[in-house]
Parts: sequence; structure tokens; C-alpha cells
Amino acid sequence: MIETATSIGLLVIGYLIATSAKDVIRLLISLELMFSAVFLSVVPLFTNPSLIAEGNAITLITVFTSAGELLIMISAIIFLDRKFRKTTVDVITTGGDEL
Amino acid sequence: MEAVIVLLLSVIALIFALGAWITRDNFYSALFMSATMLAVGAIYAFHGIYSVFVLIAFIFIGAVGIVTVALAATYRFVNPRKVDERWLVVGEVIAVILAVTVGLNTFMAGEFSDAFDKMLTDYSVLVAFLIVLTTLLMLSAISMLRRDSA
Repeated sequence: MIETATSIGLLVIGYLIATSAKDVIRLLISLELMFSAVFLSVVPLFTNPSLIAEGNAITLITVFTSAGELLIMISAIIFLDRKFRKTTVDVITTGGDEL
Repeated sequence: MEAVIVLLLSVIALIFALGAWITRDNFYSALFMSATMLAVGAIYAFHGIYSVFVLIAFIFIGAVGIVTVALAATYRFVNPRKVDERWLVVGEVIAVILAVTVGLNTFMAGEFSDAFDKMLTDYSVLVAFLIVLTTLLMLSAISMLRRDSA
């Protein structure tokens, strides 16, 4: 239960960072916090002996998938900076709508 | 006693996460985020699930976390905040209510054990998986770089 509570708390903080972010670095940090919340939410699976193998499989896939996503986002940030010379997300000037 | 330690680690994780949100400097935010992940990994280590702890420590804190910290140090902005801080209080109250509801309806047994060997008998499979993933990512990055410079 403590792990679940912490997981939801971390998720909420991750959402708050994402909504208050003004540059993509903050978005990356908030994503990583959300992924750590996901890891914590898997902990209860390890308490049920019949679900331990599933817990391991889910955690393994989650860790590799999220690490891959984060590395791709890091690459995207570098390309964003190379192309537009900035990493801020205040105003979308290319693609999408202007906010 | 065990519950107290888990509670302590959870509180530490939440405090560091709050620190990542409150600080306006990207670099410190990334450092707080790494500390949060370390606390999450510590919860796994405390429960004896060492395989997941190793994955979190090496991949998340060791690889992705360090790259994030380096990136945040490179683009070290001091960001003004867009969201009112009162939303944090509202959000946390909702989170606590949700957590208690979910926690009370979740089956929890006392035994924690690491049965990683039942799924993967050899850690070399894991290492091979990681190497393949890293190679794929590197190939993608090289491909994008070549296309960008052309």
C-alpha cells in the first residue's frame, strides 16, 4: 500500500512538472519521474507468489521500453536544439498551432 | 519495522520529487530526479528484489539519469512557473485519496522474493538484450546524424 501511495504521489508530481514545464529538459525529467512511479506500481505483483514471474517480465519489459523511449527523447532534444537553436516550448512556431 | 523503512524511503522519494518540481534550475531538478529514482531502487533492494534494483540502478540512474543530468547541465535554464502552487496541494490530496482507495483494495501478502531465475535462468540473455537495444539506438542516432548533415 505504501508503494502504491508513493507511486500515485510521484505520478502527480510528474504531471505537475510536465504541465509547468517551459522547456523540453523539464519534460524529460517529468517523464523519468513518471516512469519511476510505474516501477513502484509493479511492486505489489511481487507479493503474490503466483504473480512473481509476471512481475519480473512486466518490470523487465517496462525498464527496457522506458529506457529506450527516454534515449529517443534525449536524441530528439539534441536535434531540436540543432535545428531551432532552442529547447523552450513556450510558443510552437513550426507545425501545430500557435498557442 | 519493515513498513517504517519503506515509509521512510517513500517519503524521501516524494520529497526529492517535490524538490525536482520546486527548483527552477534544470540541473538541480535533474539531480533531485536521480535521487528520487535511487530511493525507488532502494525500495526494491529493501524488498530483496535485487534484479530490478540492478536494472534501475544501472539503466535508469547509471545511463539515462546521468545523460539527463548532463543534458540539464548543458541547458541550464531557470524557469518561471506557469502553474499555481496551490494545485500541488489539491493534486496531492487527490493522490492520497486515490492511493488509500487503491491500497485498501489491493491484495498484499507479506512475502517478497526474487524469482528472476525462474523466468531467465541466465543473465547473459539480459545482457544480450541490452546490447541489441543499445546497438539499435546507436544505429538510429548515426542514421539521423548522417541524414541531418547531408
